[in-house]
Amino acid sequence: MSTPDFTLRAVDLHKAFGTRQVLRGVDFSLKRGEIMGIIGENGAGKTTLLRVLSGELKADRGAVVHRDRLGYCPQRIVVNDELTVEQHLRYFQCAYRLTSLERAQELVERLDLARYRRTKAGVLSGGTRQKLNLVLALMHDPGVVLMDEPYQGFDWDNYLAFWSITKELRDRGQSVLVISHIAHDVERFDRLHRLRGGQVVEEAGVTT
Amino acid sequence: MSVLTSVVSDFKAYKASLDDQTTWQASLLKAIGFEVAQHVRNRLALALVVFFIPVWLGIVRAIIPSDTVEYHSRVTRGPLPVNANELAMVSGAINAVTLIIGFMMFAAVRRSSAFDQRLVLAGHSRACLLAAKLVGLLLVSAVVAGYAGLVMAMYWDPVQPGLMTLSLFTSGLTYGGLGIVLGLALSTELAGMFVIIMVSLVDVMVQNPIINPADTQAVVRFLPTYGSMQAGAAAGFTSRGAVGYASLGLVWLTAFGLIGLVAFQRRTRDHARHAPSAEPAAAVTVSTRADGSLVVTSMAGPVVLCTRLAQCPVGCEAPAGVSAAAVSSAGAGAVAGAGAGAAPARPRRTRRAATS
Repeated sequence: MSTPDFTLRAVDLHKAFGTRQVLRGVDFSLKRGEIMGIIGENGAGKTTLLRVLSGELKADRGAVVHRDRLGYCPQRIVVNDELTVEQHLRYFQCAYRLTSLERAQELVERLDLARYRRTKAGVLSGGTRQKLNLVLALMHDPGVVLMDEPYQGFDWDNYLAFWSITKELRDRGQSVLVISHIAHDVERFDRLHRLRGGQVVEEAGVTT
Repeated sequence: MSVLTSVVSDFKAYKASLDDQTTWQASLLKAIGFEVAQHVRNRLALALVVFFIPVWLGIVRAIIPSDTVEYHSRVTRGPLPVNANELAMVSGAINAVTLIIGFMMFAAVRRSSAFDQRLVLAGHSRACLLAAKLVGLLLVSAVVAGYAGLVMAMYWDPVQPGLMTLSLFTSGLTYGGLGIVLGLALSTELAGMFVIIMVSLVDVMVQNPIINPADTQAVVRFLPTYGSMQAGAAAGFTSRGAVGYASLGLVWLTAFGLIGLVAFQRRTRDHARHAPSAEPAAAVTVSTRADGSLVVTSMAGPVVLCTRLAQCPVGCEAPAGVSAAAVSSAGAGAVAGAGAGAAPARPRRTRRAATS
């Protein structure tokens, strides 16, 4: 697991909720310019793992180290229902300290979100809210992107647009970690692992 | 009209100039704008403000008899004979304002809880977000208190309408502060509503001389709207100043604000660690064995284990090519490369995982 060229590293992560031990020593590294997938059954602890990796949740034991700026797309769509799409972009522009919204505009166009710019997030459809969720994670061009079930609710065109954006990130040397309960297109991942028994193990029979 | 048009166009130009600015001041102004937008879009709260306050005061006006009761005023330092109907309007208005503003702030903070955490993890200033919430509270309280003061003036003529509105304003700040704290501490809207209603119930009822004719100042002075009620009664029936009592609401707001700050800090803490690219990568796991010795495992990069930090010469540096890491313990010194290594030692302090 020890790789010098890592951009994100999880070291011996343990996390329990009460008596239920969810993570039991997760160790892995994400390299620069790599798309890594971690799959797991329902309740395997995928979302807990991503919340710990993003810094949202504190691990009981172990550490998360990242060298590049993080982008985090949570499974539960985290937007403010009372604010418009445009207001979301402006809010996160301040958070990321971006001098312009050029990248955000590009993502908005590619994900066909432009016509909803002045629409409140609360009245958007599930898939459109997920697009906004994704744009907020990517608009600052992060070195490492953590995504939890990122294409839920996407139609086929947007699913393809998502992978096109992800591939571009990889080609530019950025890293992407996708966590999902199922991996449809395993060939799109550079590495595929499975979260089983609270640990990340290499997925048998998958070489990409 | 041209002045108004000019002000509006100036405001729009200023707003547009802020669009691409990310300074603390620009972030604060934008956050305040978004906070106000959220409150304005809370239609239930707006409906309560517009309809509940006049209906509630109208009911009080129609039902409560106009008998004379004695109100234990700290401003006049003695029992103050007042019209029960008019006193009930004071406590009814305070009750309505506190419930509405408490609910508005609670709902706004709770609903944006996960969003705020995401903003902070993305790099937004916590102080800026919290300051925006407080400014939002000030604006909401001013508008609701002003409206309630106007409605009250339609039913009755308080001696000092300005002081009456101020007491309503500070009571709103008190419960708005409570709403912020509850919004950060409680997870369901039902729980928050119950707590706000129950606190308000005890608060208002105990201070009502019709329900509680006894002089129990020693106890009631610790209630959240004690100062506002004292100032409200003085404003309604006397010409004495009571700004000090009205200002007690600011003390409550400060207390709730500090609790809210701590809760917000805890809730939005970033637990991941960012290591700059230039920093040598080292991640170490330390565990103890049954015989008391330490097992040091380097998960990333070679590390130097220094177990006698106190005896290290000043300026001691790790050998070239080896990342620096220190584990505080007693025993013999050891150098561990990548992979696992064992350093027999008598542990004084064990860190389960350390990184450098």
